Amino acid sequence: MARLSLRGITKSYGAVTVLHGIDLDVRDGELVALLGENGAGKSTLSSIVSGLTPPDSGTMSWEGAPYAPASPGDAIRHGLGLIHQEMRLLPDLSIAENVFVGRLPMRNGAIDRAFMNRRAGEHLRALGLDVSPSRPVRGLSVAAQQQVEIAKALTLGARLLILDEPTAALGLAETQQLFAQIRRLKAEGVSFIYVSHRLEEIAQIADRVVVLRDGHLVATHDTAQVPVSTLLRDMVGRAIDRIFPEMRPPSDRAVIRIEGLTSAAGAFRDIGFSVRAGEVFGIAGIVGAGRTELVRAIAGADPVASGTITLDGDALRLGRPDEAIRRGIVLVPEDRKGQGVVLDHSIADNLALGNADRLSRRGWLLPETVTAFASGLVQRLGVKGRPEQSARSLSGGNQQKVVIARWVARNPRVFILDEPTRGIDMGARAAIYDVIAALAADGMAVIVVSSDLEEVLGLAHTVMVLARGRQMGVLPRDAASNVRVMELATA
Amino acid sequence: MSLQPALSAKAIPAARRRSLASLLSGAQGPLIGLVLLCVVFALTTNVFLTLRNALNVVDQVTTLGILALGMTGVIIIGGIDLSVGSILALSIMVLGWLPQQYGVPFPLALLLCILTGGLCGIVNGLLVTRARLPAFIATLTMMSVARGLANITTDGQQVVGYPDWFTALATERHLGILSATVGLFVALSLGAWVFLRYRATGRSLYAIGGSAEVARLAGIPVRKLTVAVYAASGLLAGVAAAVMAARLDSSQPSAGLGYELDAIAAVVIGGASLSGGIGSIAGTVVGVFIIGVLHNGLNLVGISPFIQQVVIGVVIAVAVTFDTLRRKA
Amino acid sequence: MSRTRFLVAGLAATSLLGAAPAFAPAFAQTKPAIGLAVANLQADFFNQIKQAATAEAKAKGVDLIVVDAHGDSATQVNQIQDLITRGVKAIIYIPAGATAAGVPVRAAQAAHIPVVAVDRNAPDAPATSFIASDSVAAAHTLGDYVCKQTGGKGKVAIIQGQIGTTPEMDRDKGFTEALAACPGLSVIAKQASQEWSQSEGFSIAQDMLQRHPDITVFFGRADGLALGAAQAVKVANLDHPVMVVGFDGDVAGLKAVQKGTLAATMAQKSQFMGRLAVDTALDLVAGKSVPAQQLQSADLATKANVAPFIAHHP
Repeated sequence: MARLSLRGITKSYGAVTVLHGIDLDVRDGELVALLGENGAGKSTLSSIVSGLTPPDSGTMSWEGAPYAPASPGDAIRHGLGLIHQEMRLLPDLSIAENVFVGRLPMRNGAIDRAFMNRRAGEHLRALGLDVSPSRPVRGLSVAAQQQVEIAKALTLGARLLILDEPTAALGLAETQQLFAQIRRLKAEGVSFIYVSHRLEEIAQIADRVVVLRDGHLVATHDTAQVPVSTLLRDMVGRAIDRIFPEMRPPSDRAVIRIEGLTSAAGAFRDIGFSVRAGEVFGIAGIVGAGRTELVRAIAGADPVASGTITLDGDALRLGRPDEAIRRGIVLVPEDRKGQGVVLDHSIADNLALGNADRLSRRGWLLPETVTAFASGLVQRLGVKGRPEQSARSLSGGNQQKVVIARWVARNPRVFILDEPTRGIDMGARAAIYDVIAALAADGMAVIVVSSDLEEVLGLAHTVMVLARGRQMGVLPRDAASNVRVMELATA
Repeated sequence: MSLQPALSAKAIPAARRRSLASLLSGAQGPLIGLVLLCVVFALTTNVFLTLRNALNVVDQVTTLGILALGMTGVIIIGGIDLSVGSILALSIMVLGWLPQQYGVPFPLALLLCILTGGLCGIVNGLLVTRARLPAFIATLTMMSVARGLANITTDGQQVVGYPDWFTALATERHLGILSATVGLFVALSLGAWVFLRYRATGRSLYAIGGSAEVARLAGIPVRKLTVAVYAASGLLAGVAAAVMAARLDSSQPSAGLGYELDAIAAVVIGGASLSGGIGSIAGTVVGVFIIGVLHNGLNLVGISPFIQQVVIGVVIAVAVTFDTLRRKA
Repeated sequence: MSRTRFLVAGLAATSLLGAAPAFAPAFAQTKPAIGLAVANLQADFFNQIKQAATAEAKAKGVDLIVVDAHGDSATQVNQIQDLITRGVKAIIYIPAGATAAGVPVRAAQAAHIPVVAVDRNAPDAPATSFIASDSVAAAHTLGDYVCKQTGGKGKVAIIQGQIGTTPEMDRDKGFTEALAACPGLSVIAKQASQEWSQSEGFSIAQDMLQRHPDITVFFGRADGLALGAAQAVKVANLDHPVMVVGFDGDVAGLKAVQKGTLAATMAQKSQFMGRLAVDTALDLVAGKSVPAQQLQSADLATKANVAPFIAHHP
């Protein structure tokens, strides 16, 4: 018997129909992977199942009985848990308080902390997280926070968990750990709906794959038998024979040379490498290896304890973003919404940010100049939006294009991209890969940090592997196999 | 596909539209509210809609208006300045006390009055950027310290009597219209409007308020500009102090009590967001006039002071709700 | 324009018109109007004047337009400007701020509107007529009373009003004069308040008792301050009686005298002054001549004589 059944679920927002008559069954102890590009309808479907929004038509049943959740709380009472892509934990409360938030156990009119800590601790240990339940959530790794979320859902008696991009912020080791837990819970009969972009993961973990495209359910597969190319074709509706563009060989001339670079905060030590004109230099490693901290330091965003950076033969003043930008080192940061774009400002203003020195004359910056400048860039990089539109209204991929476009306009010497495609759908990823290839072709030194190994290996001429803040090796592309990189990263 | 060449400012066609609409951009919502208020008062009292009264209102809002200009900058970068009322008091006491106690020449005292404000603002800025205090706390401490210093200067006494030429700046209406202090307010407003709209540095303030980290990573000197913005707010409080002294022909240490809240209200009524990144001088000026017209109109109509307090609170709530809903629509 | 915008604009208009009953007097502009600019209606003394003036104006068939400066002189200048614009025939001016600002008086006089100042007068621009209590004499009376009641011996603590204000200076002067003739009474503590309020009186008195537990007399320069001090004395649980006296004759102060919480207060003729202010203003409007200064005596109110003051506030 199916734990959850959907029949003919349809949902429209205004004139746009985002789901067309979806039928879906999730059986006991089964993991159904939900695939699809951004806007295909995955989030809407999750919202309907978890009680955030009602369907326009269609019916649902839960363990044989009709199911129409009026609110998320209602869905939770039925035994359904939604784990968001972006964590919804309260950072200054303890782990145990987060697990029991809204239903803190009481005894004699006071919170029963002993009971709460014990129960939360049991669940966390079962999930393989060995930390004290009384410590605050702030400072926990993303992976650990996710386990707290899962523990919270399980104490609520969840028998079906919806995981939305659970591995987006996880490194390889954490991902494997998460999968082990999912397998264990499946064996105990817990069902999963698993939303992801990462096709290679799905092959490892899913029992079945369901593909959505433009609100239609276009395919249902038995995972083990589906080649990645088939899934991609299902998702984008056309055959994709190549994700990564051809890369031209780099020149011999080094643009940037880094020697003995050591973080002031202790995130990395004694890093040295150089990147040539036209070269894409990949940095791989698991979460916490110090990759983001390293590229932030190169871009002047974080202070450095020791070491030197030479750009075109001249030393760079460290720890000053304005200085790095002036010399031609630009960074597309990992946290797009927090560090890349100003969400409530227009695309035009976001593009002008960092280019004021070029657009202004004697300090005058006219709105017409900004608009014209922005229109040009929007067109050139194919950003889907008008210059006056707010950055918040854009998809992740288009926000990323805005950040890239801002720096492209400066024609920099060194272009650093940290997790350039995180949370971005397939179609938009290909466009960003094309941009990266074009930057290299224009003679820039390009540094790409990514947790997606396939991406690093597909783009980079050279791959450097970091582990625990140490440089484990610099490999030319030919020598950098999947296995070799993982060996170094986890050494 | 080549992404070069980078654009330069010269290559951009100058498609310039200049109209009243651009002057008021971002302030249409509050403006509707102001017009509505004026209509209501024009219908309820026959003395409201006269040139003389209009000039009175402009005169009455000058001090608040000058404070609100500085507050606009502070709120745009995502800060708050609770100390402007107290800084005004300290500056106004400096202006009265130095000539009286030490025989400092009046023009020099006037300069020191304004600089005192700027100095307090710089301290605010340093507390925010260097000591990393939240703006609310940093300026709250300054609010207390400056008020205390204002009282210390003359041991709480007031100073009466300024040179005639100085008080004439506030009272003499040139060509029957513009007193020098009102002219100063108009000039400062225009200057601030141009700065925030057309200067690269002014635009940077919006980026800082939108996201300080994005701005820093884009090479904007966030700390330096933050200090400058608080300094400007303090400096303007010093200017407002001089204007008030000319208007009242006296200085007292209790001057400007609670003005910071009126200034914040005016900026927010003008459409600024307390979380930063949004706001405009045009909106603020309209907000200042909403507050000014409200007080003026209610007095003209002869409404009891207790009912006035209720009406003012309700109108502010309605004005801000109106603007918030309008933006969402 | 979107639908929401209309909706909200309508809302804003309705909320304003909702205050229409309050606007009603504006339509009846046939009666002559007099303006009353009050320093701060939170203070009972001023509120007494306002209430009496309002009643008197009603009895005489004139409109009284009241504005409240909340203690801020700049606001008061604006309000008097508005009263002038509205075309009032005379202005009753209770100055806000430490000493009275002359600017409003000059502005009114420039518009040929007569001004009656109450409580404080602008030294550089005196009003046509000035009405106030004779605070120096009243404070002297109170000082004599304290001297007599204590048998001329004791330690006195004074909680001052806002430093630099006329009432504070006058009350200081009269009380000091009286004590000069009573050498056994020594002033051992003296501290200023900002707002003449009860809560200030309480905390200042508490701190004073902490430092000088031997205080035998508290003089609060206003009834609010004295009531605060009396409460502090009660809380302190001292082993000797403490005499607390106030000033102003607020309703609360008079009732405290009746209960014995305060030994005495000086009852100012606030109701009378309110009526007198309106009458003086009307005389000026009618072109009659009025005295430039009308100083009122204040009555010493003790438990023995307080009852009639409560029944009919002077």
